Order: sequence, then structure tokens, then C-alpha cells
Amino acid sequence: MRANEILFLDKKWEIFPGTRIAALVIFMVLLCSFPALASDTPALSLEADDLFAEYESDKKEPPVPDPLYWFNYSMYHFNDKLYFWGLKPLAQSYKFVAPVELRRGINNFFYNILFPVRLVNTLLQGKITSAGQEFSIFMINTMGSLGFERIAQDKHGFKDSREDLGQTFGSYGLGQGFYLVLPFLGPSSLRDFAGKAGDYFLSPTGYIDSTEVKMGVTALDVVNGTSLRIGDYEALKDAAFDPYISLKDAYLQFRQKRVEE
Amino acid sequence: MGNLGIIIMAKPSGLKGMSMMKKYVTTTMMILGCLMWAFSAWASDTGPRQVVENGVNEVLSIFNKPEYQGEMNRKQRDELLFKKAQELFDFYSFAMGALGRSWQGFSPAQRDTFISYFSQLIADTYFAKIEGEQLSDLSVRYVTERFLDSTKSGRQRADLFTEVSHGGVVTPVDYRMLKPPGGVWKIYDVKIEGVSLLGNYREQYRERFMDSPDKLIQEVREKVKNES
Repeated sequence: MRANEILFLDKKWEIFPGTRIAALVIFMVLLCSFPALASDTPALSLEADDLFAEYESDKKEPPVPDPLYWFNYSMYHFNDKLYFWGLKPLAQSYKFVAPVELRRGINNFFYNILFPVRLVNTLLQGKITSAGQEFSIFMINTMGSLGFERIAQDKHGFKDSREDLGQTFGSYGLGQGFYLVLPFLGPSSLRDFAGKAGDYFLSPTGYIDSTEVKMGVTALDVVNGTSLRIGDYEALKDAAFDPYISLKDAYLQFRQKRVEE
Repeated sequence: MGNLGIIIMAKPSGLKGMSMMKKYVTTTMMILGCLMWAFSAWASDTGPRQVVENGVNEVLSIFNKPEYQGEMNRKQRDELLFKKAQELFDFYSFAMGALGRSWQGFSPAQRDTFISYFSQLIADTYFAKIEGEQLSDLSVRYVTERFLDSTKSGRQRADLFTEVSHGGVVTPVDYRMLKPPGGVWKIYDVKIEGVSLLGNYREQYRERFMDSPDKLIQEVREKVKNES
């Protein structure tokens, strides 16, 4: 039966010799077009991979997970509304009455008093030169202007280390853990949140006895700082297709860079 | 372009009794050819730092022009800035990197459409809102440039590190640039405080490779519309 069938098929081919040639031609065309197809797509992706390879391997650590997505997303929304309905109008009115020099001065003052955080963390990371620089910056700016001006950095070329405990943990090889959005405080991670809690013991505002004064000082710090940065968050949000992911990625990239420094 | 000059130069010596007109035309063409060759050589010899420095200075001069202060002539100013941005940025590579996996699904026509809206969005969000007087105390320090390995297709790559001082705050701004063979250096990514703009978009598009190109194009188009 099978032999017959084959014979029959063979005969069928013989009846239409053109079919055989046509089949051959189609086969050849397919054969020729396949490498073209195959070389086209991978070549393109190769080119893309080549140019953008770092963007995949840039994050040397595995990507930071977001297991608390729903909590984080609600907190992101909460902070967003807090900013647009509360903080921004407040900062705008404050900006209207307080001249920019004063606001910069206050910003520098709050930066200056956080000197213990930076000093301790440079030492914890064994960065002796940075520790020395931080000490000099604090002394020069405090004695020269009570910390309202950045004399050491602007006139004497000292470099800010901007270290904190989260970065210290990172320098010890600790990963971010997972992404976390804190109410009022914004984007963070398990590691950086723990760092922030630790740094709190080194921040002078934490040692103010009266709750009212402490809250007042913190409010001034936040509103003043915001008044100098109005528009940054808006730009980031306007340029983004998914502001939540954009903000998360920006935070994680920013912290990654800080740890590497 | 240099060959053109040589070819034309070889001609007059072989032909005698050439009319003045012809001589004039050939000489002009020769000079033009030499000039163009010199220009292309100059352009290709201009390093990443020079390109960005010139570009930043030109952009700043546009912002500082008296006629572009305030709300008057805002549209004109933004158009001028957009033109400058297109000279400085390789928006094709920028969009390709931003879209990541999704890029493969885009047809050449869809890519062009996407790029035109995408570049407009970038210009709108990062240029259009700046007031000239805000930049009065802005200064840029060009720290260093670092050349990276060329891509497989022979495009050179480099990182340019700068520090922008503004309002007493120093912000590191790094540019990632590429130069195709015979082309000029162009920016395809900007990193502000270590945050890569291209990487940020890539992350946003990472989960969305299932979305159709038309949907992604529609999204950018709407965003551009809302901005303006």
C-alpha cells in the first residue's frame, strides 16, 4: 500500500514536472530569504544590546523587588496629594514672603547641623579624607556664618560627602532589600529606612525636648527645602508615562550612584 | 568631499582654452569643495566635550536673549530650543534605548512618529518651563570625558562628566554620547545625579512590551498635547 502510494506520488510528480521546479524555486527563495530575515532581526537587537548593554547590567545588584506594591502605591498617592494640596501651596506662599537668599541660608543651616550624620558615616566607611573634609566644612561654615553660608565649599573647594547610614550599609554589601514608599517621607527602601532610623539618633532636631518646637523646626525645614525645589517633582511627573515607576527607578538609581561614590 | 576638489583640480590642467566662465565656476567649486572637506574634517574632529560645551553655550544664549524674556515670544524661543536640541541629541538612539524590547515591534514609520512626539515631549518638559532669569547664576564645569568601547557597527561612544552649579547647589550631570563613522558626536542619554533619563524610560517601558506600538504612540501624543 505504502509503496504504491509512493509510486503514485512519484508518478504524480512526473505528470507535472513544472510543480517540482516550482517547489524547488519556492524552497530556494525561502532558503534565501530566511537568513535575510534571521540576520535582520538579531542584527538589530545586537545593535540595540550593544548600545544599551549597560542599561541592563547597570544595576549590578538584582533588581529591587516591590512586594508591598499596594501599600507603596497608596502611599505614593497620599504623598502626591499631600504635595499638591498641602506642601506646594504652603511653600509657594512662603516663597512669596521669604527672599531666596534667606531660604538658601536656612537650607544651608539645616544641612550644616546634620554634620554628625555625615561625619560618623564617613568614618564607618573608613573614608578618612572625607571625614576630615566634613569636619573642616562644619568648622569653617559654623564659625564663619553659623552654617548659613557654604564658605568652605564655595571659597575653599571642600567637597561634600553627603554620606548617610543607608549608604554605609550599602558599602558593606547590603542590598536595598525592597522598595518602600513612606508616608510624608517619600521613596525609600528597607535598607535606607533602617539607615534613616539610625541616623535619627545623630540628628540634632531629634534631641529637641518640646514636641511643638520639634514639629515647628521640622516643618520649617521641609517647607523651606520644598520652596527651593518647586517644579522638580512636577517636571519628573509630567515627563513620565508611569510616574510611580519613574519615581521608583529614579530613587533606586540615585541611591545606587551614591553608594558607588 | 575632499575627492571632489581633487577631481576638479585635475581637469583644468588637461583642458586648454577654457572660457573664463568655466574657469570661474571650476575655481568656485574647487574652493567650495575644499571648504566642505575642511568643515567635515573639523566637525568630525570636534570631541564630545567641545560639542556639549558649544551646545550648552548656544542654548544659554537663547535663554538670555532679551527678546525671549518673559512670556513674550515664548513659542518662538521654544521652537529655536527644540531645533538646537535636535542638533545636539540623537533622538533615534535615545528612543530606541528608551523603548527597549518594544522597539522591535515598531515599523520604520511608527518609529519616526514615535521619535517626533517623544523628542517634543522631552523638549517640552525640560526646556519650555525654564525662565531665562533663572539661569543667571548657572555655571557648568566640564570635569572629564571618558571614551568607551565602540559598538559592533563602529560607532564611537563616550561619557562626558560635568557639574552644574545653580543657586548654591552643585548637580552632577553626565552625558552619554555616540558618533557614527563620519558623523558628529551626539548625546543619547543624560544622567542627572546618577539618574539616567534613558534608563528611567526604559524601566517604564520594560513591562509594556505587550502593548501595541500604536497604543504607545497614542500615549506620547496625548502627553505632548497636554503639555502645550
